[in-house]
Formats: sequence, structure tokens, C-alpha cells
Amino acid sequence: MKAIQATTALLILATSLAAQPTEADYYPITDIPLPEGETIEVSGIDILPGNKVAIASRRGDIWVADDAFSANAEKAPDWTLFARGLHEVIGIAWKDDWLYLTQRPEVSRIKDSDGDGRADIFETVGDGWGINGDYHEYAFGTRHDKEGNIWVVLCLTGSGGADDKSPFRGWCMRVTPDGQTVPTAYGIRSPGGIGLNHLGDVFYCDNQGLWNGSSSLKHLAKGSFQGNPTGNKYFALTDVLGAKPPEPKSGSRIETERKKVPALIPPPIVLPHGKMGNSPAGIECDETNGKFGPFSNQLFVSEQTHSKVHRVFLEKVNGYYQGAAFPFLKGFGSGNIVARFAKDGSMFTGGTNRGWGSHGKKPFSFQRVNWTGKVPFEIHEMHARHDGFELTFTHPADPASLTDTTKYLMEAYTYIYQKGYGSPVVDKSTPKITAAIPGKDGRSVRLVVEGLIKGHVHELHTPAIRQKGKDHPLLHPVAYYTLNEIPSK
Amino acid sequence: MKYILTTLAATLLSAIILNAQKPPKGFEKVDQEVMITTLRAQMKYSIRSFSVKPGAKVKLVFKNPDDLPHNLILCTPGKSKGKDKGQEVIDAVLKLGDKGVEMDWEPKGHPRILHSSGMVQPKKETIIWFQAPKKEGNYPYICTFPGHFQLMNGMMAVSKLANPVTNLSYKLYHGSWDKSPEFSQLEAKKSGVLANGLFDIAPRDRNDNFGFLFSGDIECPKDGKYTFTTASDDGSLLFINGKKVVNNDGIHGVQGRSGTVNLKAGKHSIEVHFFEKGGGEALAVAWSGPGFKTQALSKSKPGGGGGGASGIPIEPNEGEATIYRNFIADAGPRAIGVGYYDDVNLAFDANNLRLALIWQGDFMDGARHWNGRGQGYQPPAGDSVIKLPDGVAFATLNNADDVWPNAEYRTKDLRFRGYQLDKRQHPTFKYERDGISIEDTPAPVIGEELNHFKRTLKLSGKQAPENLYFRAATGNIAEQDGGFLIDDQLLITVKGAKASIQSGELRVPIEFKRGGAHLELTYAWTE
Repeated sequence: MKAIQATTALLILATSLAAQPTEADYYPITDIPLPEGETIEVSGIDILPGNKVAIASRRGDIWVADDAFSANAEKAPDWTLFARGLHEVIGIAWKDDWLYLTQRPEVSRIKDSDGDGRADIFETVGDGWGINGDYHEYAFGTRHDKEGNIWVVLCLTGSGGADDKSPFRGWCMRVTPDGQTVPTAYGIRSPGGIGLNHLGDVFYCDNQGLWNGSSSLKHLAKGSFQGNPTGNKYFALTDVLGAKPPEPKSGSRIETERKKVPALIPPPIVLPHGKMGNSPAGIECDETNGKFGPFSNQLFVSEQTHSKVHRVFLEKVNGYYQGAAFPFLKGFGSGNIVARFAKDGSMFTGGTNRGWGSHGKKPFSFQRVNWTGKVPFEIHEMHARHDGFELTFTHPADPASLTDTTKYLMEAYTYIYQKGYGSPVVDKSTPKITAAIPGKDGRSVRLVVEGLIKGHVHELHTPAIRQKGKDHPLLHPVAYYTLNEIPSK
Repeated sequence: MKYILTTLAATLLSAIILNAQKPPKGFEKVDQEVMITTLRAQMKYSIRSFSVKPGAKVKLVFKNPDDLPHNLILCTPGKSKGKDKGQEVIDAVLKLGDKGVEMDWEPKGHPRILHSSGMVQPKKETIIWFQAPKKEGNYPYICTFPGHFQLMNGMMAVSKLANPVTNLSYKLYHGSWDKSPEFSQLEAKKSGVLANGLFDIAPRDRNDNFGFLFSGDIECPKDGKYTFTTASDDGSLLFINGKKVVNNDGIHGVQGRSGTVNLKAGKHSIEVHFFEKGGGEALAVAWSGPGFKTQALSKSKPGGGGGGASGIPIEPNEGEATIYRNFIADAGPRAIGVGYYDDVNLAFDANNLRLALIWQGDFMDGARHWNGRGQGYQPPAGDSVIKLPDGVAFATLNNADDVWPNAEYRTKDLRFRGYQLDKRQHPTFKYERDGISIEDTPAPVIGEELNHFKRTLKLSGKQAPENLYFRAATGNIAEQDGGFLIDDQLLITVKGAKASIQSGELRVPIEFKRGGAHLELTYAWTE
């Protein structure tokens, strides 16, 4: 009898486990075969007229797929080599019959003028920065903003240096349509990618290291200081951003230093190092009008080491962007570098693990994520409130699963702002959730929190929340909110 | 009927020869042994090129440790100057269609097939015994398994210059030295023979604190001046007939050093001393002499004076040029390498808008920048590298013999505008200076005479520049044959303006006619 009970219990467990949805039920990942024999470490993706997809590689090639939308492991697209031998292209953008590319030393535009499928005109658009033979001198470029500019973030030399031979390392530059290179922001260490949100504001990811306690997603406001002062020596070369700001104090906190250095804007999203990932890269905004699911206008961040894509919700509080990061999708083939949405809601992703290892074991990959049409049960948005947070959900939650404050786990912490490499988690505390008030139809919950700390990541676990009528937990019952600003009442 | 018989006989014969792991009659003693293995999961042969003397008896061991079957088919030379990789054989394999599998993907009897290993299954090996053709040339070898040949190919050079080193033996020593020791005073830990005649530190039993003494004979094809080069980490010395010719001694990273000696035709004794203390270890040896360019005497050639990474050769498509924009040694961080199909190459420096390097032979190797993170500068893969002047190539001078402006890391006087590729992917570089547009078109010229570049410089602008000069060369310059001989290695001619030697430099005044100037220069190697 006992044995039968045990078996029954196991059966029930197995059934309920089998019934738990997985990421692949909503967002399956499809491999897109690349041309045989080629090494294509995908570092840029854009959609061309006629539903063609162009990809750039770290080796400096540009390939164009005739149809990557129906392609799968069995059905390869026809690939055309559009250009070869460029200097480590990271970021491409199609505009007005030109393909714009960001190479290490310049933003260029290329064109096939004789219609043979291969580019023949290679024009330098803007090149107002320097390189010095160091692999770390990467340049990551956006697509065009509303004014037609391409924004470029420039990694420091050797990840921690700034040499007179290679000006503007650690800066963000805008390359204008008329070929000017305009210094735009500074204080950058080692970017992994850059992108625009639906309003045209520009963000980039900076990696844990000197003056970066954790990796984070940062807002490139014009004239802003992103925190690493190494490149500030180049204020000697330009006055468009005013005077060089005072040196921040090493061993402090960003929250403390930003009071002394107004240009220093705190990262809107800290991506806690080791928890979310180790190396955030490209940023892509979902502007597919619902064709990719319920996350319109949210940002999708490629994560190189963990071979993942994160989801980021941003709001503006007291004039500053901040918000929450959520796990979204894991299990990509290589180390994710870039993602690009097509109008039909396909998200193309590309990656490499050369030089920096990744959980996905392929040396490089080109893949596509499509929404199945089923909406996963997720935290849709997480807003800061004057006395806590408010979560909204993609499906109604069972109100009974929302009200027990002891079923929420919250921890707050930050990182040391220092010259040294990275930082341990410091200043840990456990803010107390004093009330959890379900909203109408279980679509949201207000958390009243005692002990919010300005400048700290607030990590929230919600294991008890269940989808109404389905008994499913949240697909990802965790959120990381970076509380740089607390809204007033 | 005769055809069938012949084919049958050939098949039988080849079967006998191929399967024989013991040497057939006449091959008990061979002139040369070559071992080629497949590289696991890389679709490549371990040896991409080797050379043999005409008529030499060769034992070729072909090992297949890969998980796929592979063969090795040695072909007759193609029509296209050593670039051919047995295209007709590949075409014939494709035509086999359904029969391909049973034929082991080998179009037996094809006129371009010289020798074949037959299909070698995973983890198996075979030996091909053959006598090298009498005719000098480049003989490609390929794997004809479908889809393999693009990557899995190599070239056998049949050349009188092949394997000049014979009776090569080594002695291995242990010890920690800061400069090359007197090996004759020391006791060798191990000794052996290098049957392939290539200097090689592979027989070592440790990676630090060891040394090698290599000795053998080298055969000079004719009387004349010979240059020997070693590139080593740490030190090396090279002796000919007991006389020190190359001194590359001391503790250092990979570093190239050369020396010259006059030798009579015939055999001479050669010794190389090598030692390694700690860190990385490498040895490459090469020579050049009357009528031939740098030839490796080790598995790899000493790179442009400083050990270039190798393993991912970058080659143009047939009849085209290929571009490589990257950090190129002596051409700057913003270099644009152009490898032309005709085995001549150049690097353009887009920081200073100048032609920085020209060279012959192989173009570039991507291994430095395409493995790992890709740090630093890669030298050209080929030889006969000629460095052109640093700094800007265009400057305003009050007088023709004024001092040329100092070289900057990156000029502010000129602006790079990009390039345009023609149908053969040959670039025309475009740049600007003070309202003047410059179009710069180098083109390879291959003929019976010396290989050279023809370079066209077209300047245009609304306003004619004043006192503008183009600097074509610096160094030791002598007028010769209506042109200028630079450092005894480069002959430059200039059409379209009156070039002259000013302040020891070859300068060309730019004078506009009808809104522009048009210069035609040639750059020819003297050997």
C-alpha cells in the first residue's frame, strides 16, 4: 500500500512537472544554417528590402540571406557574400539603398552600384576617433536615430587605458549624416552593445570591470558621464561637452558620487554580475506592435557568456530612466552579441564565443526566435512607487496567491564604485514587504515596502504567485529593479 | 578494349602500389618522406605544401585520424599559375553522380590524376610510394570526398631547389642558458635524424631549458651570394662551413636575423644552434640566393622579421583581389591590405593616406586576428616585403629640398574617403587634402619581365595647389634606366611630372593642368 502511494505521488509529481510550461512553449529558437565552410561570428544584423537579412561578422564579412524567415536546420537560405575584409564590423543599418556599418576605425556606408550582388562603393562617413592596434578597441554602432545619426560607443584601450594615439576611447560619438563625428557622452569602459528604445533614446551595456562594480545597461544621455574616468583626458581635445568633470572618489558608491558630479548618471539597469549573466551585449527594442508577444517597447538584451536574452522594462522617474530586468530566454547556440527584430515579429540573434567563452558551445551561431502566439505568465512591468513597487502580469494571477507578504522574498544591495576590477555585492539589506494588495482581476499587485534604499538593486523573488485558473507559477519568478530614484507621493 | 586494359592495369598497379605498406621494388631507400594527416573536425590536411626534387623517390604516408573518410589525390599542374586546385578533377567527381559512392568519389583514369591514396576510412592510414615528376611545377593535391576540396587541399612543388638540406641530424641538450652555449662541450640527452631535411624543434622532450644542435649539408644550385635567416625564441646561431653567418643569440621573443655569405655551387656544411630558456619557443630557418627568393628550411617561413601567426591563410578568389582591413605591421592600425590574384600584394595606411607596403607571394594570414581576441599587428605572409616611407605622402614645401614634415601617428592634413572596387575587386582609394580630391589606383602588372605595380594618382580640385609635393621614396636612391633605384631592391618610375632626388628623397612636384594632375608610377622589385 505504501509503495502504491509512493508511486501515485511520483506520478502526480511527474504529471505536474510535465505540465509546467517552459520557455520553448512560447519562444522556440530555430537554427539558421550559415554558408558551409565559412566562419561567421555574427556581430551585426539588419533587415533589407525584400525581406532579405544582412549579417556582419567579426572577421569583417557581410552576408545576405534571401529568406531567413522560413529557414530552419533543414532548409538553408541562399547566402550571398556582399562584402569581405572589413575591420571587425559591429552594428549594421540599412538606409536609403546604403548599408551603413560601424568598423573599428570608422562608420562607413557601402553600396552595390552595378547590381551584381556585391558591394563596390565603400565610403567613409565619419572617423573622428583613433585605434592603436589593441583588440579591446572595439566600436559598437547603432542604427540611425531620428536625425539620421549613428551612435558609436568606443571601448577603452586594453579595457583600462586611453592613449594619445587613439583619441576618444571610452567615449560615445555621434556620426551625423553630413559626416561630422560629435563627442556625445563619456565615461565608458567596455561596451558589449548599443541600441535605441522606441523613443529614440540610446542605451548601451557596459561590462563589469574598472569603475563598474557589476555589468549594467546605461543611458547615453547627451553630455552624460557613465562612470569610468579613464577617457576623460580627451576633454583636452574637445569643448563641446564643457569642462572635464572632477574625478570621482574610488571606493565610494555611485549614489554618493552622483551628488558631487551631476553629469554622472547612474545605470538605469544593473544586471547583477553572475546572477543575470556575465557579459551583456546588444540592445534591441520590441517595436513589432505585438507580433512578438506582450512586451511592446521593452528592451531585449543579448548576454554573451550565458548565451541568453534578458528582458528589460524601463520607466522614467524624476527624469531618469530606471527599471527592472527579467530573465527571458536561454539556450542559444553561442555567445549572444546582437539581436534584431523583423516586422513580422521574428527576432534574429547572432553570437560568438571567440575570446570570451559562452555556455552555448558553438563557436558562432545565427538563430531566430519566434513567438508561438501563446502568452507566457510573466511579470509584465515592474514600477517603482513612493512606498514600494507595483507589478503587472501578462495574465491574471490568482488573487489568493498574491496577498501573503511572507511569500515574497526581497533583498537590496549595491556594488562598490571603484577603480579596481568589479566589486562584491555590498550593503545588503532585506526590505520588509508590509502589504501586498492585488489589483483588479489579479492583473497587478501593489507591494508596500519598508526599507527601500535609493541607488540599490532590489531583487524580488515571487515563487508563490500562480496564474489564475491554471495553477502555473510565473515562468520567471524573479525581477531585479534598480532604484536610483524613488517617486514622490 | 585497349583503353579498358590500360585502365585495368593501371587500377591493378595502383592497387598494388597503394596497399603496399612495405616498399615496392626500387623504393627500399627513398629520397624523401612526407607525412600528411587529416586534422580532426577541421576539414584540412596537416601539410598545405611541400616540395620535392624532380624525379625524387617519395614515400608519402597519409593518416586519417578524422571521423570522416578522406582521400588524397595528387594532380598534374593546372593552367593557372599555381593557383589551380585540380578543378577538372573536382568537376569530374561531381559528374559521377549516383555512381560516386561506389567509385569512392574518384574519377579513375582522369588525365589530371597522378597518384591517389584511395578512400582512407576513419582512423586508418596508407602509404603512397611514387617517383616525383621530372617536370618542375606546382602539383595540387585534394580530397575529392564531396564538399571537402575547398578546404582540404595542398600543393606539392616539384623544384630543383626542393630540400636543399640533406643528412640533417639533431642533438638535444638540457640546460638553462642566457646565450647559446658551446654544445660540443655538453652531453646530448638525445639525438636523431630529420629525414625531411627541415630544421625542427619538435623532437624536444620539454618546453623550457633545452637546446638543439642541428647539422647537415646544404646544396647551392649556383655560385653566388646567399642570405640565411633565422627567426627564433629564444636564441639561435647559423654556421656555414664552420663560419658564423647568422647571429640571433640571446633571450628574446620571436625575432628574425639574417646574414649573407658567398658560396660556390655544390654542398656545404650547415649548422644551426638553438636554445630556449622559458616561455614560448620557436625556430624557423630560411635562405635565399641567386635566382630564387626566400625559401623555408623549416616547416614555417620566418615571418616578416617577426613571427607572424599562421594557420588561416587569406587568399583572393581566382582572378580577383581580396581585402583585409586590420592591424598590419608597418602599415598601421587602420591598414587596408589588398591581395591580388597574381601573387603581388599591398597595404594602404588609411591613417596617413599612403601606400605602406608592397610584397610578393602569400597575402596575409588571419590567424592572429581571427583566433582568440586578436591582439596586435600581423606582418605580411609573403616575401620580398618593401616598406615605403612613413608619414604623409603629400606635403606643402616652400622649397623642393625642404625637410619633409615629421611622421605623425595619424595625419590631420588628409582625410580618408573610402574606396571603390572594380569588377575584379581591385580598389581605387579616395582621399582629400585642402579641397583636392585624390584617386589612387594601384594595379598589378605581371609579365615576362619583373612583377610590378602600376599606380595611377589622379588629383583634382577647383584651385591648383601651391608647392605641393608627393614623396615616393626615401632611402638609398640612385637614378637608373630612366627611373630610380631604391635601396637596390625597388625600381620606381614616374610619368606625368618631373621627379627628382631632393634631400635624399624621391619627390614629385604636383602641378595642375586643366584642373588636375595625373601621375603614373611603377614600383618594380629588382629581383
